[in-house]
Amino acid sequence: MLIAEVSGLLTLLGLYIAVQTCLANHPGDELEQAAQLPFAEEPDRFDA
Amino acid sequence: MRRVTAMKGLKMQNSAAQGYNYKVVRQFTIMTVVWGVIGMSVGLLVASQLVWPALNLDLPWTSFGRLRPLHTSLVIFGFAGSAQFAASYYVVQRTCQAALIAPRLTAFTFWGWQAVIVTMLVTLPQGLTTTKEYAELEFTGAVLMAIVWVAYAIVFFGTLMRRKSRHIYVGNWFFGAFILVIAVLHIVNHAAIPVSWFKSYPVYAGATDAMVQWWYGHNAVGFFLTTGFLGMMYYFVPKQVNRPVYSYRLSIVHFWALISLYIWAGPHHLHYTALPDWAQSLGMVMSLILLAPSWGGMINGMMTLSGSWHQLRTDPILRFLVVALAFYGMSTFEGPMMAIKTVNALSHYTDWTIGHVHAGALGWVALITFGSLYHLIPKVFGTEKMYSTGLINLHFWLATIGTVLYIVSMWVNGITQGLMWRAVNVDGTPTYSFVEALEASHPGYVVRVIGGAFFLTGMLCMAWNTWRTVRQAKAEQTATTYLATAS
Repeated sequence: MLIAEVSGLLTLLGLYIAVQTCLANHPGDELEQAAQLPFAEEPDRFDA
Repeated sequence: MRRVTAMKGLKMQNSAAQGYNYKVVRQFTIMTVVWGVIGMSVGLLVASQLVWPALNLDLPWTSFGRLRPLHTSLVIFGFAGSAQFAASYYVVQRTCQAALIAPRLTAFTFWGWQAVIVTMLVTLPQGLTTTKEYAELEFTGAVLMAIVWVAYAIVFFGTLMRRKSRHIYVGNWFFGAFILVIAVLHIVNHAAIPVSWFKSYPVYAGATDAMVQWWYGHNAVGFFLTTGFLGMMYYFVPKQVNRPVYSYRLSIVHFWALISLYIWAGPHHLHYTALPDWAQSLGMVMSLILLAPSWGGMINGMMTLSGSWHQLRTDPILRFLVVALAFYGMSTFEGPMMAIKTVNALSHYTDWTIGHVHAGALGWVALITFGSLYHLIPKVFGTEKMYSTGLINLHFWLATIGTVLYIVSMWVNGITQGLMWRAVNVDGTPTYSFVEALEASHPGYVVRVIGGAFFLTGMLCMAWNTWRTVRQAKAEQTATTYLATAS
């Protein structure tokens, strides 16, 4: 069981570091701009 | 009117003429529909065989044992695989504002992938199989699949490197993880020693072989049938609603949490087996934690509609996308619950598992694919909209009702089977024989056939609608050429 617990804790720690690094690596409003990427081209709204 | 339509077609052609490779997207889109029709037809046949065993036809090639893996292979790799090729090639170009690299290698990924599916179609009915679920393709086919997948990775990541923006859109992160992890899973699980073109023996043995298989098997669900489709969700839901994703920060947390946790969940397929107990418990705990990122993604998709829910009244494409998210939320709640050992003691080996898989496969994978393709098809074929909105609506209701009938019948069957198998008399002997449990399951199998027939009929509506849309696009392009020549 010790292996399971250590593996689980390491995974959660790795996840925390990955998320923190990822969010910290985007200064200013870069993330807000990134959310607009699908709309970067011509407005092609499609009404079925 | 015709002139206006033609000019709109010309405008769309111009937008498509920015150098994007839409040919391969069109090819994969058409084959998604083709493999969907064939794979789901085989599924309906095997479901019918469980109601009317005479449909096995007393032939080895048409027996349930050989057609069932053919059904799963065709719908997973043929239908879902082609859909993800099409969507990822479309999305990566649009969000990076760059054409796919290496046109010949890109074409190879299409023809190579179709060759893999045809190999499945030819070998599996002959009984040429590794016997590993979702990895039945024997050695030669598996090597071809690995080569095609590496080519796919080169095209996708090469195109990402050409992007015009600094940031990589989150949908591409999901597609990238899907491509990388599937490569690793496929190669490791197919490590085998071949003795002929279509016979090989795995390099693993015993419980290790089982663990590797279900590490692959569960992540085939987690990465082949979830991660790539989340990439589709993060592009097509915002596009169809016409507003950015609800929380981009949440999408990043969703991505990292999902890929960190999914890879550990495989052992829950091997509860109460020879697998070490600690590995089973680890798989169970990781499966439970997995609920958090799964629902984080689902909520992010749903909340993107915040303020735009009224669009559901008029837009059947959006209905497909939203109901897919609802089924995703439901099946990713059900999965962790079934991974709990005490629940699994009731559900394992019963039809509940089949129902759970189809809640994800029909409700999530197929519906998000239908919604995405209905959005994508007019754009890549250069027309304004699908041939018939009414048919899209009909397809939506057939697919939704079919999915519900399928899932509910398998829930009822599964719980019935689990309870009957576990019932014991005071002297410890089983209360019911296996055949009695099978007889009790028969009504559920009939309902499943009806649900499957609904779903397949919807798929046929889509095939007809797609065919007419392609013809409509060709007619418009001919008219545009005529007008351009005349003026």
